[in-house]
Amino acid sequence: MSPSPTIDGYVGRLEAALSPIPAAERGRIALEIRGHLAEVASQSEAALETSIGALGEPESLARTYLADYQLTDAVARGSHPGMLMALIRISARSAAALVVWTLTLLLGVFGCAFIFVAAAKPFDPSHVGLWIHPFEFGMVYSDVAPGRDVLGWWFIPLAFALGLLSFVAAGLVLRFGARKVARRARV
Amino acid sequence: MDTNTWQTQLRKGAAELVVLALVGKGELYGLQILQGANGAGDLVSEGSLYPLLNRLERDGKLTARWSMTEAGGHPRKYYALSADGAALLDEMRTLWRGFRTSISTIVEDDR
Repeated sequence: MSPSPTIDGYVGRLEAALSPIPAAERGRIALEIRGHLAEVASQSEAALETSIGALGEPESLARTYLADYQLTDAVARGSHPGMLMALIRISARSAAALVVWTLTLLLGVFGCAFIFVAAAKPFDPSHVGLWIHPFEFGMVYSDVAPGRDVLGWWFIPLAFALGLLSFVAAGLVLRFGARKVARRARV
Repeated sequence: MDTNTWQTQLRKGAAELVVLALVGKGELYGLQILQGANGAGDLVSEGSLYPLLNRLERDGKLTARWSMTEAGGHPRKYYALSADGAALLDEMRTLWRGFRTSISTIVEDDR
């Protein structure tokens, strides 16, 4: 196969745009397109130009490939909703995807609950707080001595910080987990 | 919607069936599938064919093997139908026949 700057340039750009896909898979795609272009080029230079026109810009061709790798694509775009959607779609055949999805959702729910109780404290200060004996955290309406929570108004920044921490943890679990699942499952 | 957009949508919908039907006749590589698909009119474009082949292979509908020693030395990736792909083709063919009949009855009624 004789080298052609046009083909090399096209395939090089395609490979760069396919960078979210695992290297081995990317190499196979690039080789197939290179073989196609080389064979067309052996007919005529005009045929090569027509074929490159029909393939479209390498970046746009790469997007068509990436769209089939929904999770890989969502990871590359850093789209959290995209990752969650893709994970639940493949959870029936990937236990790892289900674990990542569930953990992310759980941390997200914790985050919402912490923020909610932080916001509720000013409205019902005697029933929202932290009690040690027995241990209670959040909104409590039974078996607590009203007003005896140990944090007082410090409860608000603490619960708020825990909420933010939960959200950050959810984001980290999602990004890290989704990347791992995408690499392993080629999805 | 202009007719170009509509025609593009029609081709998009038919591309998978066309590719499976062509490969169903025997092992083919990308350029041969393209020529087969476009011999009777432009049905599949290069830009959609290769990602489609990639997806069908990953979904287990097609099997593939590489040939690096063909005349001219161009690497070729040959595709064949898997058992799953053959079953899908059968199912799609049946649905297509029903669809074609229904559409023809309505659309070509005034001839």
